[in-house]
Amino acid sequence: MKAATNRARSLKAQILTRVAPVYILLMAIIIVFTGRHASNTVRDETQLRVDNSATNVANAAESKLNLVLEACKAIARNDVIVNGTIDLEYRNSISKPFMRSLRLPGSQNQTVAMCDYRGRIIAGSDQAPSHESANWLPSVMSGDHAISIDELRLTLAVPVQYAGRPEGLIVATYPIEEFFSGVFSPYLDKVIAFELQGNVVATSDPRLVSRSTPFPTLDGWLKGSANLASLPSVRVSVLESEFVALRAANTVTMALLMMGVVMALGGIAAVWMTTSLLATKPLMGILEQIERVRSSGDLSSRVVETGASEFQQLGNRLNSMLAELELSTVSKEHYRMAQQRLEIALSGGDIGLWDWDAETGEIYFSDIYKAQLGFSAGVDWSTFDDFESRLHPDDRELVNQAVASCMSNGSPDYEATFRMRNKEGDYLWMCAKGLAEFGSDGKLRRMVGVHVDVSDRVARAQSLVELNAELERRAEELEAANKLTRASEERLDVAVRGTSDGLWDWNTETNEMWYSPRFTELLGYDSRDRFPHVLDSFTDRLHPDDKEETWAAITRHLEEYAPFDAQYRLQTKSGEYRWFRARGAAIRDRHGKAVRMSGSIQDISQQKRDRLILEQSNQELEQFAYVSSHDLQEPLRKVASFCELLEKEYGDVLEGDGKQYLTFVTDGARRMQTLIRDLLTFSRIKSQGMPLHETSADDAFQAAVENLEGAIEESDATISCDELPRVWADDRQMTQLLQNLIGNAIKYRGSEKPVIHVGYTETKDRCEISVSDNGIGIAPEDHDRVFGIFKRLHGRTEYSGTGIGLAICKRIVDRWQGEIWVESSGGSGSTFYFTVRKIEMGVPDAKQNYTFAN
Amino acid sequence: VYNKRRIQERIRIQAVLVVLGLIGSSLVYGGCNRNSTDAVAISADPLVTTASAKPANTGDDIAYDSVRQIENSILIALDTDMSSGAAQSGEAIRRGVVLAVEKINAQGGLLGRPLELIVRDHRGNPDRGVDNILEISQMDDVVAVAGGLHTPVALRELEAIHEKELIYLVPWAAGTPIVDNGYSPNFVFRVSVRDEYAGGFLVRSAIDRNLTRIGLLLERTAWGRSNEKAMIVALDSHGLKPSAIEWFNWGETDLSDHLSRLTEAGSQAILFVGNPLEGSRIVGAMSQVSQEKRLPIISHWGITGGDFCGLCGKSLADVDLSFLQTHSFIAPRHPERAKKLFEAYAARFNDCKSQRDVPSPTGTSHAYEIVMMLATAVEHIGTIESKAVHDAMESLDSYHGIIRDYNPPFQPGHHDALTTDDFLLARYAEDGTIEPFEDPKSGDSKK
Repeated sequence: MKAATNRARSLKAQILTRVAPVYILLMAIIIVFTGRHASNTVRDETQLRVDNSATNVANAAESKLNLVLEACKAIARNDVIVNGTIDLEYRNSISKPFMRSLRLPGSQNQTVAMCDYRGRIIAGSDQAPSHESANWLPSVMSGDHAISIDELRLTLAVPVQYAGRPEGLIVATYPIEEFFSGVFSPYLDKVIAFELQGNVVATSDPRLVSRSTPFPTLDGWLKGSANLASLPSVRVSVLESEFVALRAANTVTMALLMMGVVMALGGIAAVWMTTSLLATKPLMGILEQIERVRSSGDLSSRVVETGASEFQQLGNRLNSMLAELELSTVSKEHYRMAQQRLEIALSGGDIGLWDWDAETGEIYFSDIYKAQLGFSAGVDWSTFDDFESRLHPDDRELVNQAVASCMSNGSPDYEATFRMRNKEGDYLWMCAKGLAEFGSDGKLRRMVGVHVDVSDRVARAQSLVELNAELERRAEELEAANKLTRASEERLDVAVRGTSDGLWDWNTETNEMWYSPRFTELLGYDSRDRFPHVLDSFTDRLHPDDKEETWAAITRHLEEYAPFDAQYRLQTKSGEYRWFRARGAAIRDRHGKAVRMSGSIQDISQQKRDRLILEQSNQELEQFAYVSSHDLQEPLRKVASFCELLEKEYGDVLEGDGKQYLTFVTDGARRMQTLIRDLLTFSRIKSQGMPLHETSADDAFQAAVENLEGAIEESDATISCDELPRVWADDRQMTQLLQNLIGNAIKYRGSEKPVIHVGYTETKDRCEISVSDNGIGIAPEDHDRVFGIFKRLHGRTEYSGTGIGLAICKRIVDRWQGEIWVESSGGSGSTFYFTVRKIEMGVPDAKQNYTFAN
Repeated sequence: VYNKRRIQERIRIQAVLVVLGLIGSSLVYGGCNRNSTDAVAISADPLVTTASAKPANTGDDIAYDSVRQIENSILIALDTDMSSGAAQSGEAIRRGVVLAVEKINAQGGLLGRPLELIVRDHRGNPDRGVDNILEISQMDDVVAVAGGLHTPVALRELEAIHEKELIYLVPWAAGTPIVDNGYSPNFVFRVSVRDEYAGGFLVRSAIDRNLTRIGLLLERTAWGRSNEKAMIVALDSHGLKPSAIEWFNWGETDLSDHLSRLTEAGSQAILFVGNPLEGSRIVGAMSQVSQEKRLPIISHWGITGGDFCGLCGKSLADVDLSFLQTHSFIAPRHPERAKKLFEAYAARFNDCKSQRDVPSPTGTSHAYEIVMMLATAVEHIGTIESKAVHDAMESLDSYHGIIRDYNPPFQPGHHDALTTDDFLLARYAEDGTIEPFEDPKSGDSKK
């Protein structure tokens, strides 16, 4: 390790040897490239500049040419010239002196002349040459201007035009050198020259570039050229010293070189420092840490690294390795301890151990296993045969099945009890339990388990078998019996769970009493509160005023078999009393003695309150109706009697309308009396009715018929009657009821003589009395309406009455909780039925009585 | 999909190629154009009258020849302005010559040989004129040269004409010295106005209209000077002097200063001597001054040698302009003769439907008349030799021309066929037709 470190170079050295040469090489390439590029750029730029100055000179020459040309054109346009081409006398006297006096700009030695249409001089400088044979003449005479140049002269010609057509020429000539010299400015590092077809015709520096020679090529000078646009045969050349241009390029290259060296050194230094700071330092730190762990063996120490993420990862990985190492050291100790414990346990419990490798077929048998069969630890058992050969032949199948089921089901649990032969040849009962291990392919790989001698247990078990058989038989009987009970209990449970009732179960012999959680909950207790399952828990909470009544009801039920349905107040946890309705039934032995009683309670406080409020308002209403109708009677009677008196005394005095009005008043008062009387009757049914008592319906019928005697006689009605029973009712009201029904039958008779029958049938618990007639009948849709107060199906003129009779009937029947209804198809008679409790059924409604008792 | 993309790619490439091709070809074409323009410019020979020098204002599409086309023909040359300011006069003269030549050829030619017309264009430039005469003199069998409108050209040509002994026919140019040239024998014969007479006629025209303060506006050429002289003489014969004399150059574009000087001198009328271009400029200047200051212009006939109406435009209607004319197809002295000529004219040149349409009618009539006279003389003498023809012309007895009867037209020392009697004053009608002028105040003036 150490040797390797020595052989390897340090990180910094490696970086320097590998990176630095490449870096320096790159820098060198960049510098050389950039330097050359800069040099080229400078050279190009300089060349461009030289070209530009050539172009500028060319432009200046061009401008000068144009100036002269424009001047010539201006002269040509002059009518002194135009007229001079036409008129000879004018030409001689005017045009010629004019032309001679003309001076054009640009040179002292210029000439300007006026020519005829064939280029012959007709006026102008004496020294002006003829242009008859000039090659530009046709072009000028077709209207263009011409600029021509030869070794000596520059010639500019423009046409003189009349009526848009050239009729003569103005021609200017310049000595060529003189013309172009005017364009030069003095330059120190430049030479400008004009070339005509390769020969220099004008130069700014005759020492360097001589006239009438081809333009020289000079070393160390940059040359730029440009041709004159209007005189393409003339080329402007500019020479500029190359040294001036390249001086700049060299400066740039030197600067780049210096910069490059600085950057190279700086870069290497930066790499050196960065490597030291970011790599070498944290690495050394980690190395030190490892060394510390190695020397001290303290696995709990950890590397603390805050450098680059890679080094942090390295540190973290090292830490986690240390942690794993630490953990495995601890668990080794645990394993040893566990092994020890297991050995002690196994030997203490005399438990053998086996381990079957299903793939190789080898089995490990523990020493205890061997000892169980009387063998010493030294005996060499390692195959399945070693096991199977000692197995009782009868149990082989069993063991194989257990193993096979384990294999086929893929379930890890193996259990079998079998007999094994010991060293002495006796068979012992052994119980083997094991766990199977399956490979990922589902095949059994290994099975490990324990082996216990259960011979004693087997012997004990056999004696128990018989006992068990007996027990089982009995259990079955019990089960059958229980099943029935369970079923009913379940049903109740389901039913009760649907309601909000609380349940109770009272053992009348022990006075133990079970209360359902809902029961206690209704009293405001929750499951944490103490609520002992004894009768006192109930009685203590019963309202003192209700105790007597409640016990009476219970007693009635237990002794007289009356249904138990009582209402009482119980004190809740908060101390207030709430109304409950309790219903229940006793379970009796074969002698009819109650042994248990169970039932439910229901919170009816809200109903109770609602009913009280309703009864109060009803009472008040009835009181009001009664009082008001009672008090109305007196003044009304006064009105009626005085009306009768008025009719009697003054009936003859009044005439026509007055008499009729009086009749209306009397009639109205009488009807109101009837109405109030009926209302009083209606309200008295409840307020002044007698408590229900045993009444003879027959007597009531007789009384009714007597009361209706007049009407019966008048209508010649036939009334028949079955024998009526005795019933629970108020005799006066019964009479009223029958009287109203029979009266209606007479009143709503048809065209025939009324035939009325009062019938009677009996059901299990009530009597059904009917009054049938052959009257006009009632349409089915009106069957319910007829019982409403003030409900009349017919006009008052058709049938008299207040419409209250049947309402009174319904109220009377309601009072004893009977029913009243009518059956009629309409038009063919009707039958009214009402029911009333039979005497055997007792007072119809205890509560009703109780209420009235209040 | 792949094929589609390839096709699209190919189409794109082709489109690029087409565009490049278009650009390239347009560049090449542009270059060719420039070259061809140069070539045309270089090859255009100003000495030779070519098709490109055809008069622009005739509407006649008949080309005329610049070189002999017919073998054994007798040539008659025409040297006139065919393309410049007075091109219309040149064409009118050519038409007259053509009608005469065709009539002669129809009657069996001249001396039994076909007569052929050769045309040269001097564009009003005397230098060209002289060169043309020299060139014509080199040709064989030239019976005569007819000249054009411009007196300065004719005057400059005299030397060459007489040196080369060419018969010179003058159908238009009016300069007195053209005929009174001092040469003997005098080869110049004229059927046209003579300035000497024209001066008298124009001055009389002004005086007839009670315009006695007369200013002269003359072109600064030999023609102008010829008229100056004639007019001063004419005025003097009435005991008058010109109120002012103004000269203008060819090519002068603004004559308003001249006009204001004439007005300041108290002129009542302006006698104008010039050609169409400068004539249109005095009309323009006149139309610019307020109406009450405008003066009547009585012009020599030089203005009728070109498209004067076109040059003047609307301003012509604002100016009282009358000018000298001789023969008129509308009001001829011998209507039946004029009618015959017009019929031949209309049959030959399809741009004229009526007499009113004939441009520069005097040019045609004069040219026809003088060529017919020449033919008569040649037939009479039986040769085209110059001196013989000269003698024959001088010895013509009487001649019944379309303009008038000549008794005789020429005599030795008298080479002007027309007289003041043949002159009339004319004006431009609204449609540009030349019609006889009637002074609105003529009734008063005659009293």
